[in-house]
Amino acid sequence: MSRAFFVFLSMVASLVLGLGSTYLLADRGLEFGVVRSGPWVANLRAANDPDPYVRAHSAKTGEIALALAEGIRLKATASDDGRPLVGNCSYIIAGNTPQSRFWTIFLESKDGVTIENDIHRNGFTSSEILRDETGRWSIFLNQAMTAGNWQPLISSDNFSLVLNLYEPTILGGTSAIQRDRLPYIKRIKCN
Amino acid sequence: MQLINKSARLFIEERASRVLYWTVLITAVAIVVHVSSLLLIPRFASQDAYIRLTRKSPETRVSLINADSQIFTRSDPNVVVGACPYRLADGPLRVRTKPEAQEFLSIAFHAPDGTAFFAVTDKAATKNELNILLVTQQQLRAIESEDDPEEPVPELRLVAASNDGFVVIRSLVQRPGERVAAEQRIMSIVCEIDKSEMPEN
Repeated sequence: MSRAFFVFLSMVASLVLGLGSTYLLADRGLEFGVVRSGPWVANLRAANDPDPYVRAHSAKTGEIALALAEGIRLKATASDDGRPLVGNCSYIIAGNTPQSRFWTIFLESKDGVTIENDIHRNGFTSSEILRDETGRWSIFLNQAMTAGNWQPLISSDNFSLVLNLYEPTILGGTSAIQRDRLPYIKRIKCN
Repeated sequence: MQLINKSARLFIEERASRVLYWTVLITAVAIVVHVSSLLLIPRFASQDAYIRLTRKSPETRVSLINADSQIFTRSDPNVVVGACPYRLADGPLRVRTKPEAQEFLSIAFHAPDGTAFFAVTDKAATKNELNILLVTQQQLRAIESEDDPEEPVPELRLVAASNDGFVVIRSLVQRPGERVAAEQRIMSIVCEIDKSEMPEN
């Protein structure tokens, strides 16, 4: 094999590696500089000071992130035991939320698109959710209808949970997402 | 025998150093390609939020965007989102609304690449009004030169991070059935080029 051909092959390999990694990371986003708390992940700089990976991801998807003064977006792709969230399992979400003026919790597909269903129920807001006499709440994620705050799951695909905190009391700091201030996601059973 | 062993070792060492050399070279070039392409994507992107917005509605006015999957595919289903693209070359941008009590409303100003350079919520309203004038540094100087020093400035004047960009307005749908009201809140917001703020030349 001539040296020139070997150099050519090396350059092709470099281009494939370089461009391929850019394509994959711009598509999925890189969790670079994110804050983690149990299964929950937040990128507090996504809108105000995005890193090159967030910029590339937004340029590709058109996503408009929440500015810090508006709120914080937390996302979970797994339950508390670390297993991916899948639609043929049932889950309970309950516990605390960091202090904020309002919060919403809803489902996204693995591609980041909100999931529609026949009863037009995707998620709950802090204003509408049913609470017990102590003010606590729990949400049941299940394919079968369940009493209380029921969020239907319509397919067996992987999904994500998104918790948006609008005007959280503590902005920017990691204390806003301490584990014991966030809801737990407990897997109950799978079909 | 020893001579054969030595030459075999030299051969293996030479091969190993060649493999290492090419591996380092390929990795280094791949890193340069990766970083360069990553930084170039936002510049050449044809799908970012600003391009999607201006492609559909180039005029400076509020339109609802979360119902339009061609523009905005990722959004909170409990929030109605409006957007208003602007070009400050046409004049300063006026954004004005009278928020309703206990109804979350946020207004965020974004550069074309999506970076938010300023955001407020309804809680920042004074005398029950949010009145923001987005200007360039040059426009600010011109407007301030015509200000009456005895009169208080009636609006929040904000110098934009870039001449083009877009405003994103979010209104929370707190309960099912309140979506239409949230949409009306957004559509009632004034977002327009305010030529009256352009001093006469």
